[in-house]
Amino acid sequence: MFYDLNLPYRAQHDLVNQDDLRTRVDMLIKFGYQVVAYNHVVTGKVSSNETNVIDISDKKKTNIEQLTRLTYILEDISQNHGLTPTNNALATYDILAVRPTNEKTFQNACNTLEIDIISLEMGSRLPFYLKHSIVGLAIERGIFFEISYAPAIRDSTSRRYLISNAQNLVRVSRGKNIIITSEAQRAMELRGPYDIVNLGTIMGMNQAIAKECITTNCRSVVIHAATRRNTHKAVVSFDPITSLKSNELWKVGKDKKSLPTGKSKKAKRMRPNTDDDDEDESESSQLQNMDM
Amino acid sequence: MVRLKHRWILFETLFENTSHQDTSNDPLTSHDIYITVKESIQLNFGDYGRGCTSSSLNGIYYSPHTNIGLLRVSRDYYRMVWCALTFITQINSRSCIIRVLHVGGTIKQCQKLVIEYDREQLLENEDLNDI
Repeated sequence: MFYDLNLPYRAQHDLVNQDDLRTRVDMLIKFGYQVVAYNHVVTGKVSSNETNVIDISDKKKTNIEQLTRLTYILEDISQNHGLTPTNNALATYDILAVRPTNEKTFQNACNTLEIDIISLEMGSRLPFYLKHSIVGLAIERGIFFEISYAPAIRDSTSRRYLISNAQNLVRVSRGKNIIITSEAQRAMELRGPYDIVNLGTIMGMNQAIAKECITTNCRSVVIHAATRRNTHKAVVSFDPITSLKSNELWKVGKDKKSLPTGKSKKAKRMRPNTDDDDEDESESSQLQNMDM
Repeated sequence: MVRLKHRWILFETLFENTSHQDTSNDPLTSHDIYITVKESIQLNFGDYGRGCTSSSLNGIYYSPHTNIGLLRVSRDYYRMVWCALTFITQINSRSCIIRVLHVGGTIKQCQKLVIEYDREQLLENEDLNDI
């Protein structure tokens, strides 16, 4: 399972020549990637009325799984108050990432913010030093650091900085919690997964760790994001009965009235077979009745 | 006995404009690929890289019809050459991507893989034509 968790959705500046999303995704499918995440980059204040601009409803491809991702470019810590679990608008995106631009925001992102990925601008000199202590804290919290390889393919100055910054990051994080993504503006900047593993080896990782960076670590990011969004403090989650598949209906019980109709939410597993037909059962009583 | 051991890198070139190479242009030869790889090593790894690989780097085979090629490198520096291949963005001013399919110790293994790969490609094309 190969993941590419950074495919820019909209061009950053007008000067950037960006390929059609479809061309790039077709190229990814050809290379054997199974999961892609479309990335929407935003600067400025984190607000609570962001709607998900990424539209995947008309791009139904069965070969590849599509996710949505939001990246905030953090310039000032006073703008970050919106990045909390209660912000409903942010929950419409599958993955949440952050790009700090100075030391204070980097420290804030590693210590307190509820995010999945910290993305660093690898194509130019990093404005702050990476320290073992701060990076270690982020790793303990389950946050991943992202290395993007397409800037290295675009031009040679970025290549130098990428190798330098990536080696630094690998040294500081001891090879843990790193993911490699593309950030490709054009289809010709994408590369096959094993080629990326080889690039990882010149950044200081060994081959096994480099392969993990595009497989298991990316999967961890997706699961971390799902846990952050769907569960309450990573313990409890609610699902409506309508989300059950047909071979999971046994969980609800033999009572035919409790089969999903799309309207009511009933779970009468523990109660005897009576004819009660109440429609407005609340979710909390559903929780009591479910198999816990 | 100190033998110089090699690695055979099997790669595929993917061009931007069409899915198959346009035969009206000059078809690419293995020599073109060899020159491009040498330039890429010079650009990315400098004189040191050129020195390490000059004695053993050799472009063995390239077919413009299937876009598959074979390169021989010494075993100690094959990763360097592999990275140089990844950083290539154009051959003969045509935009392309090089994807490495297999790195093997013997040429026979690579040959087996080429046959398998060609067979898969033919079957895919047949399916597409049927539809």
